[in-house]
Amino acid sequence: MPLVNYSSREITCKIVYYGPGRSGKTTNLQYIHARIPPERKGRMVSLATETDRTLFFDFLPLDLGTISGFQTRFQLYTVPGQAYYNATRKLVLQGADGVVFVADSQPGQAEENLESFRNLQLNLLEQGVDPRSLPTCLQYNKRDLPDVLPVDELEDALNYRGLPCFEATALSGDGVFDTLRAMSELVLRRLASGFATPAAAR
Amino acid sequence: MRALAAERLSFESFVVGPGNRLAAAAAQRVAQAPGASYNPLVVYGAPGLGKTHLLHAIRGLALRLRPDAAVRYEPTAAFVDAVSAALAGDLEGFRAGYDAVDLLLLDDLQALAGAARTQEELLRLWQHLAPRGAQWVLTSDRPPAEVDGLDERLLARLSAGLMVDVAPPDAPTRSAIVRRRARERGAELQPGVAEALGALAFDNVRELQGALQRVLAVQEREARPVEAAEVLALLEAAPMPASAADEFGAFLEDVAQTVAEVVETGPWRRQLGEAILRWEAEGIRTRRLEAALEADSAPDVPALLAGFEADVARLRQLAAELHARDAALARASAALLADPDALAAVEQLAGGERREPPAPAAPVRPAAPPPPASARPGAPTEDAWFRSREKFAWDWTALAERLPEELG
Repeated sequence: MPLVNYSSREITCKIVYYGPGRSGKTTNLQYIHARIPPERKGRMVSLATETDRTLFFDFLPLDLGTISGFQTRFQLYTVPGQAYYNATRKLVLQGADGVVFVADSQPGQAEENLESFRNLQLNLLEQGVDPRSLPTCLQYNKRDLPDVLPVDELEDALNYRGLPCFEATALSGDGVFDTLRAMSELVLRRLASGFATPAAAR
Repeated sequence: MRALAAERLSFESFVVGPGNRLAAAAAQRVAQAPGASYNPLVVYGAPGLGKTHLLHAIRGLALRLRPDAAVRYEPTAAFVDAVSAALAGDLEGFRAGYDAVDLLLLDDLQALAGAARTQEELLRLWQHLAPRGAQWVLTSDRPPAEVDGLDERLLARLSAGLMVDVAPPDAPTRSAIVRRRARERGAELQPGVAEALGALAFDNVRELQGALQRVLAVQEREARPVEAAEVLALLEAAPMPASAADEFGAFLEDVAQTVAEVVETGPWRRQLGEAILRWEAEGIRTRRLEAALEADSAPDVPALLAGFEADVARLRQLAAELHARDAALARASAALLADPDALAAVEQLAGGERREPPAPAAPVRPAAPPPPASARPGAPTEDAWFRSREKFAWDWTALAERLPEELG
């Protein structure tokens, strides 16, 4: 299951936005979706539960057209952040080529951030993926709110691996494309170091 | 820290101008006498114009005047979450938490869009609290009638009170906001700086505060006051975010550059990929080439392709001979006759040693993926690729089976 398929001349990357509930994962995708020119815009699929909240997941297909002779597509997913949807999170995480961890910068959410980050590591390990090998970046969201945690504190808590990190206000779009650009580059560059296979197969 | 932030969001710190005068007055009235007038009060307007500030100000004043009042502030998205969790767990416990509310402040009611179950719960709560005369205050980033999928009954209830909009601040109000925020931060501005910032047509207060932030950052970093004449140049030097179209375009350019670099790192793969395409189009199985393509290092591509081509030529020769001798057997052996890796078996077959066609080798990979939707005339152009592509991480059936489990 190659990320770059030389025989069908396709590049397909699956990027999963992970993080605690209401940290802004869906808002990231909504912002990106709103910025796609109409001729490239696909349908953003949101699958909601019967209880309204916690979309099971969002899915945004991003068809970037033919680049260097390759039909290039990104698949952006979000996972449901709430604790009780872990089985769905695992499903969505399968085959991920990269993960954007969206953390909520509010002090009251510090524990949820940590718990979700731990959950990400556990779910990857359970799927046989070494979290250190999977392209990952951190997004510290909601920076526009008053009295958010200083970035240093968020870094101390979450970024012990020195991952690329971005401050963002997904609602207004600040940092959204910066994050996606960095994530895309991480995933694509990984190809250069070998014939990449998706997360679940590694 | 949150408490301190909320305390700062008071009527005293709310800068009133023509765009928000009515909303501020109604909010103050509601805080002073909850349930007595304007019930519900709905404040709507674009983000960053002070709606949340007003809700916190109402909360603060109401509690100051009646410390025993039961006041609840909830972002609507959190309310939707809470309803969701309650439906999966303790619904009665959740409802009990709202039983004694005197003043309910719901922020960003547009989060109710499409949340039918939460809207039902909200209507039930409304009915339950009505005899108590509880006051409702809600904010929205658009008029409630424009919120997608808002229940007609809910809309009717909202319309029964006062709906008031907040508009972007005018220049004098913007300047007043700048002066107040600078004062709150203990910063001093040179004469004319607040006016210079206020003269810039920011759409909302957050952007204005961002501009002030940049001015103050320069003052702090360079340990000197910023003069009014510098403001414009200083803000231009730190440009605002690119426009929407540019953002996507710039992203696309970056990706294109990276893709170009990445695919060029393995020209041998491209060569093999092209050969696979060619032979597949001619009906020849290509598993030998596919295996080479998936290797970590480059094989001897010219030798590999030459060997493959020679095998295909021999295969075709044997197929022609077999067809001339026994057409029925040739037809029955079609799969074998298209597989260069089964050349030895075909040699045997063509030699007449076996009458029964041997079984073709098991496929080593699923059928080639369908072409992109856009390449198929008349095909739907939407998302078809993700359902059948190998990158599709899980299937819908699996998800459907999980639903009952997830919902408990």
